[in-house]
Amino acid sequence: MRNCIKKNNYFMIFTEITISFFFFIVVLVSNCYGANLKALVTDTEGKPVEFAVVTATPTSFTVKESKHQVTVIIDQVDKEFIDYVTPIQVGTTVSFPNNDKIRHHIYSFSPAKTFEIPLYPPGVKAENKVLFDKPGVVVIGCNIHDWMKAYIYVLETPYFARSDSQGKMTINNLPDGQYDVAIWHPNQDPKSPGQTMKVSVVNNKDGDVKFTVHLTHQWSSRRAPVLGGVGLYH
Amino acid sequence: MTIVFIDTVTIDNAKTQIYENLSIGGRVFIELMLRRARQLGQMTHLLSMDFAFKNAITTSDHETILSVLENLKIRINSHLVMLISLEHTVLASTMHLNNVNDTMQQVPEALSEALTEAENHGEASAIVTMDGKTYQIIIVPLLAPDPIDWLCTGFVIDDALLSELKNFILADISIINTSRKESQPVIASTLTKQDSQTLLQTISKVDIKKVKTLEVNYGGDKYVTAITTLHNANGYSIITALQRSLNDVLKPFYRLRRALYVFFALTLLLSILASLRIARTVTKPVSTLVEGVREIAKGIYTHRVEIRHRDEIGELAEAFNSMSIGLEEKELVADLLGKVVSAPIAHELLKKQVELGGEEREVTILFSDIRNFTTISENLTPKETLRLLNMYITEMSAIIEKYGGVIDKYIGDAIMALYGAPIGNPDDTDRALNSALDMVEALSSLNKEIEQMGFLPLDIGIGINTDIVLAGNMGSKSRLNYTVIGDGVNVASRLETLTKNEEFKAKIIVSSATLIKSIADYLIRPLGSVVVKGKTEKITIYALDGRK
Repeated sequence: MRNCIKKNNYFMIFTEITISFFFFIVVLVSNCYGANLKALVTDTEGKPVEFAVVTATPTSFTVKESKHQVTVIIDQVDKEFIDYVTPIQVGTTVSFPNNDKIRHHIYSFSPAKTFEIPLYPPGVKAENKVLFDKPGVVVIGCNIHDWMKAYIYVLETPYFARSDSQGKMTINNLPDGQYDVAIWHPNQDPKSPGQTMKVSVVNNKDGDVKFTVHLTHQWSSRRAPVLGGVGLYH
Repeated sequence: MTIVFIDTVTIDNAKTQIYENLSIGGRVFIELMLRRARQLGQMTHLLSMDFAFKNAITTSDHETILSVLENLKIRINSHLVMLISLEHTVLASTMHLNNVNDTMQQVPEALSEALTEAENHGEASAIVTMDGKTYQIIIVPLLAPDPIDWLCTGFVIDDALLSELKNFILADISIINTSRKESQPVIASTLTKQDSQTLLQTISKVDIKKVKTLEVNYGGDKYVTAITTLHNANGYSIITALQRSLNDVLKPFYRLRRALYVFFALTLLLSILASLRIARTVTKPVSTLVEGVREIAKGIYTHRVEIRHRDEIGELAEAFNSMSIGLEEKELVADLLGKVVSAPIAHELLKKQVELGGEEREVTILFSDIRNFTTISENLTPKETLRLLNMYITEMSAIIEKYGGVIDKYIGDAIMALYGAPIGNPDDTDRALNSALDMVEALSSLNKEIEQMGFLPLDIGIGINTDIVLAGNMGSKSRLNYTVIGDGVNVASRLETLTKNEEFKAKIIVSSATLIKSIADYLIRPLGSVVVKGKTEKITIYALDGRK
């Protein structure tokens, strides 16, 4: 689902941005757990975008630090990370089990979290937990399988969701208040970052947002060699 | 002519062949450079994937990064390694090892273009000139596992590289930057500096986008040149000129041509020699023979040809010489005959089959005799007598022959001459009469000579008669005389005797038979009629005193 979008002219970008501002602030039925914010993410061609992360950062109140020890799993199966994109809140521990038939060597050079789990064998015993204590994007790779890649999006807010293959997601249990709702995608064009929307939740009423992301191509290693041997990257 | 034609065809053919070879060479060269770029790209890619390397790069420690790049440079044996940020700034470069401050600046324009290309295609290769050196560069992303930087490796394109490739392509290679701004357009070349400048000048005169082949003259040696574009960039192109010397290619042909010239010269020499030999063996002898024939035709029978050959011409020459010997002998005979007998008789004798017997002809017979020669000769020695006689006879004979008379014989001091035999003329009688008159006249001048010599002057008498006589060869088969027989002869002899008669006072006495036949007028005196011995009837005689 990593769509390749090459250069767009600025007029197009401008138009898209304008369209993206059609969002709604909805205040509806009371809910003891809070409101649900539905989001739909499409690319500039209108196709749904998977692995987009929508975050709602409260501006009207401060988020309390989670007292629970949360552990998220990023698995390794058939020489791929599962999942490709994992949004977490700061202070979350990520476990990197190896459910493959071979060993892996996980690393990250991202400033938000630089770590390395040297070559380790498959098996449930090796949980290999890493605590992510700083917000930011952490790209993880495998030293012995160049194509393996996964993103951990470390967030300060606990309100976030990741889009499915339909480009849809829901942020649950949003308390009443003001939010900055933002979009992030690993292949987002850095030249046209996603818009941040102001959203108000009143009386636990659910809402809808739509985002359009400008995807760009991100060069990475090929998993399988191409016929003719041309091109090491894709 | 043929050689010139062969020359043109061969040189054209050689050029076409070179162009073909060069265009193949050009493709090979481009392919070599591409493969080289691909290989270098793979090496660079391989190194970029090195975990320790990535690890070192992410330390952000400039000194460490530089040393890592330097290490990488050594690993792949390249000439340049650069680390470039995704924002196109130089993070570290082995070109600036000693000057750290040079880094963190925007990449050169040429490199920026290649970076854009890498952004679009994942990797890029280009030919870029930096700090006076031209590199074939490779740009790959540094993946961690997302691209964090660009890794650029460069391999110098220099004369040494081209010299290496020259051995493979078998052509001189020059790589030229067509940009007008470039201060050193010739990037590298296997040519000498001077020749590469000449090449540059030649190329700058043509539109390189259209012209793909040209000829460049290096001090007399023509180089066939094929142009191929190696790298197209914004505003300039990097082209390759592959060249081969026409002379080198034509060397075997020139050798062949030299051999042909020698062969041609030898053939020419041989044909000249052969012609000379033919001239000597055929033409010259033939012209000698022709000359000989002409000489023979002129009557010079003593002429001989000197040709010593053992062939047909030699035989011909021998035959010719035999012929001229035969002719000479015949001439000798004729000459002798002419001396013994009168020339016309000799001629007649030689002409016809000599037969005994004769024919009846009308002949005028002249008899001359010296008066009292017996008395004169008594006072002389026989030698003096002979000398005197020979003087006299020579003079008289000449006159007779002048008038076509034939001296029949000398009888001592007497001369018998014939007019009308063996060949007759209508004026035979006139010839005889004129002869007689001239003889008398000639004698008076001869006498002056004789007197000077101390001898007594001579006096002559001449008798002339015309009659039908028998003329022919008389004698035996082995020895014969041409003469005339008949009464007429005796009459003439008798008339001569009559001149001694004092009464007549005549030196020349002519019979009426002769006068009747004569055409011209003469001073004559009738002397009356006489009976000639052996003749019954009288004949009228006249004294001939002169011409009218």
